[in-house]
Amino acid sequence: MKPISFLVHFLKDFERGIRSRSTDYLAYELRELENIFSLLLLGSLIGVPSPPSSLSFRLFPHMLREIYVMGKRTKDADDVSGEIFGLFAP
Amino acid sequence: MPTWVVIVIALAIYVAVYVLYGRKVARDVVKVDPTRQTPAHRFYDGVDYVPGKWPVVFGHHFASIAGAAPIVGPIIALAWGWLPCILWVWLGNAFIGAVHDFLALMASVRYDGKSIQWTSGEVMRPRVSFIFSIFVYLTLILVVAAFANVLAGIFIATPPVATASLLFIAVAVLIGYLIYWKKLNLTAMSVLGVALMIAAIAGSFQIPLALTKNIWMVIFFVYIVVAAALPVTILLQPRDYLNAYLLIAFLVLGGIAFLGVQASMTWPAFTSFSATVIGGQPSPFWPAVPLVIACGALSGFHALVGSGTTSKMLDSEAHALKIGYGGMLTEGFLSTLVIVAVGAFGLSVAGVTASAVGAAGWKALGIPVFSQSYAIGVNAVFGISVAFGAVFASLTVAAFVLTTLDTTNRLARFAWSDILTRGVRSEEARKKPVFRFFTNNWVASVIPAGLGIYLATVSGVFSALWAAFGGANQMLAAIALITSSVWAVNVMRAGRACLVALIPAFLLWVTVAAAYVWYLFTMAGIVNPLTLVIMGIMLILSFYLLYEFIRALRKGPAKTA
Repeated sequence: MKPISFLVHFLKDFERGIRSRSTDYLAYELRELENIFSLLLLGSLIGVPSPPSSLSFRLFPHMLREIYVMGKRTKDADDVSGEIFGLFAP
Repeated sequence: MPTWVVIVIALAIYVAVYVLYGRKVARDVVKVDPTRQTPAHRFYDGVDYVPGKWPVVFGHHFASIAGAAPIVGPIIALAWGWLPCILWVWLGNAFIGAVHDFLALMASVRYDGKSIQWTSGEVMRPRVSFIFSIFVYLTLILVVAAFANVLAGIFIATPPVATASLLFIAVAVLIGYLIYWKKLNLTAMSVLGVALMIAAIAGSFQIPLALTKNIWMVIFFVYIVVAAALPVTILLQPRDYLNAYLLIAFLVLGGIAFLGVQASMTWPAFTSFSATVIGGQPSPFWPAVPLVIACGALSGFHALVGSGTTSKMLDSEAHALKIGYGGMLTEGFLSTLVIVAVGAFGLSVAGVTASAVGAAGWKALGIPVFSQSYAIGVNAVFGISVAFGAVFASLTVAAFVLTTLDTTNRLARFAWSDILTRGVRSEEARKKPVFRFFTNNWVASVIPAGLGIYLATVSGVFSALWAAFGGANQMLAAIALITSSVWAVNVMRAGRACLVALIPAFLLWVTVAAAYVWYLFTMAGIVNPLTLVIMGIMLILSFYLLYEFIRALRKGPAKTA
């Protein structure tokens, strides 16, 4: 890549990175909402009486990604502060 | 010396240390392996772990670590002369700060994206992570205190900036409303937001807001508690979005202006080893310099950012050096620009001569002097009026400080609950009303805001409170570097190459601990006793962490990443 072209691409991406920092808050909030929604849908499997288990089982194949994310969140549960500090950098 | 020469030397040094030293650290200590999958790939989920192009991650990382501190610290430290200041920034960047940021990032990458705080518990003992949390919490209180003081100082010295800052908040809320509630076009709203920001600066001269410090402190307290409790879409996110444009404009205008401006450094290269820097007292350059120049040279918060989010976005280990090491050098370059701006124009802006400042004991110049100096440089190259440029520069600093204040309070609220939850393990005790009272969101928010604003109000000397924050930040960096050093020695087993982390970790700890002791003795009777109590607790905790460091090193290699 030629130097000028590299510089232009770099500056464009750099600017995108700076702006994306401000959308992290939204992404975080959305992730938490998705998490809560997933928990609600699969609630019957952990003792929450709604929705019926049969419905939860029928939703299972469509929620692979959500279940994977929730599983990993559980793994990271001993380091929640790390993410929060990264997000709200003073 | 011409300013462009200083800037060219800075660029040459940064390129040289990046190529010669940074790459050596990456190769010999971390053993960077571009073929090894990063957490962003190993745990890719499109949500938490997503690889990004390196310039995007670099921009994201830089926006997270850049703030008001690399601007404020060097302005105060210029009282020692511009040469020792700039040398501390450059050497601190190259051998401590950038190594610290890079190692924290890579340790996190090797530990599946876990934070440096978590890593400290892993490579030393779990209780170290808990002590780390307490240390961070105390630091956050001092951040609120120091930055509230900075903001009050700016608003009182230049009332139009106060007006522009309040208008900026209103613009952010309006833009957020139009985007999220009215679903209007993002690009159109971005253009409108930038236009309204320019109008806010232009209009601020008509209605300058002149209030006393105490009134500002009450306003700040209410602002911090309320802003930290609001949903992020109302204020924090739209303001951060507009802040991005402020930061880009500030860097581009300043960078080009001070490369092109025809000026020379008029501030003395060296003044006195014990200039009047902190709390109006003669302050020895060593060990006091890290209390003043914090983020410009190195910062403990960078480790939290790098290991908290950046490590989960890294596409390849080969990018870590550019982002971790290079990000710190970029921030150091920002501090270099600040030193050059005030070094060149500070005396004429303040309307004093070097000999007059010397006769007064080499006291520090204020932030408004920087804004004016920046504006003169921008005016010389771009023709933007000095008055507009000065308010723009001050508004940029103030915008960062405002964001710092409410994000810090959010963090402190979270850290407080985390400490109490980890400290009180009995389920019975957690059910008691007193526990529930102290973990209540509003109570957890009011405590750090109240303590911080109280300290800012009663501590008359701005530089003394700033030094307390700087010391806390630098000790945090020492602890993070200690953690990374133990990781490099015990886990990476990098042998003698680990000295590039061990030596700066130890030297930094010794310097900051000595500075703490100097501060506690010298500032007694000058700052509020609560500041001294907080710093005293931090000093004791840092001794305990040093003990854990030595213990872990003596225990030797045990764990693998």
